[in-house]
Amino acid sequence: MTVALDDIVDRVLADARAQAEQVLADAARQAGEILSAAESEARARTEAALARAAGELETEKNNRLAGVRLAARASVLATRRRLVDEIFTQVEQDLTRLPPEEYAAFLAALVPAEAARDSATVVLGRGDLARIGPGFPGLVAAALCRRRPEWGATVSRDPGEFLSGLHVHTARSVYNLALETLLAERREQWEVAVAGALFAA
Amino acid sequence: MSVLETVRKVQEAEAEAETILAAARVKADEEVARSRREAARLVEAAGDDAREQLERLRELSRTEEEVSIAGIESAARAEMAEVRARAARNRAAATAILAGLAARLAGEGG
Repeated sequence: MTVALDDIVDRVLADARAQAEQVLADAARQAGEILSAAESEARARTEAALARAAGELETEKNNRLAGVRLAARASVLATRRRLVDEIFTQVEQDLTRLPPEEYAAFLAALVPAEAARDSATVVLGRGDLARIGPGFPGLVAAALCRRRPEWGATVSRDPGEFLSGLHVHTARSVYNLALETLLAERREQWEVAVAGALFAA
Repeated sequence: MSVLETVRKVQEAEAEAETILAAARVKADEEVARSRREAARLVEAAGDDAREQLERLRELSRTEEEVSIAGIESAARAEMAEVRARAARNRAAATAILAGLAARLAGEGG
């Protein structure tokens, strides 16, 4: 009888210990799963945050670099443009520094045939008049007369509101032959050739 | 042994069994709670680690950008120097070409 009771007691305690072990094993498994899930979540969050940040940083960097490249290109183009400008300025100055008779002949040759069909008034640039002096209208009148003896144009002594070259006022229209205008009008057409020569290797 | 004694012994065994189980449950609850605290600490630590990695990433990106900018600006300076050198060499030829074109203006006058 005592042996049987001891067996029962041992059995009750053994069952309890087995259940306790099972409870602890379940807890250990659950704890492991919690930690494993936390590690996965932490890793995923870190990777996602870094990937997002890397993408944003790359985009921002590329945008800034595009701006820098654009500014650098603009600087190079501005340098090229300034150097071409210098050639245009140089040639304009060279033309106006021709000997007065030669310059007057050059200006007379600028006048188109259709402008010379009517009586007209020729107005000279204020820069030319100031530089060459009061004799310049006479030089231009003589040059016009040599070139187109039939044309009765009058050369005004009053300067025009432009620097060099001339304006021809006829009854029908005004021909703007100011050097700065002529050069500016042809700038686009001519600067390809000028830039090609200027920057040739 | 009396029946009463037997019942008492069994009840004592069952009480001890309950104690064993209760202790196991407490320990299990503690284990799970500890793992939850550790999990929270892991996630928080990961956040700190991500911030540190992000800072390193930013620093690296800044350095790369500075190197790229220096390269772009250096290349532009070199190109401008080359452009100026060529212009200096070819100025007379370019001026002659433009002067020739300008001289033809007179021809256009007819």
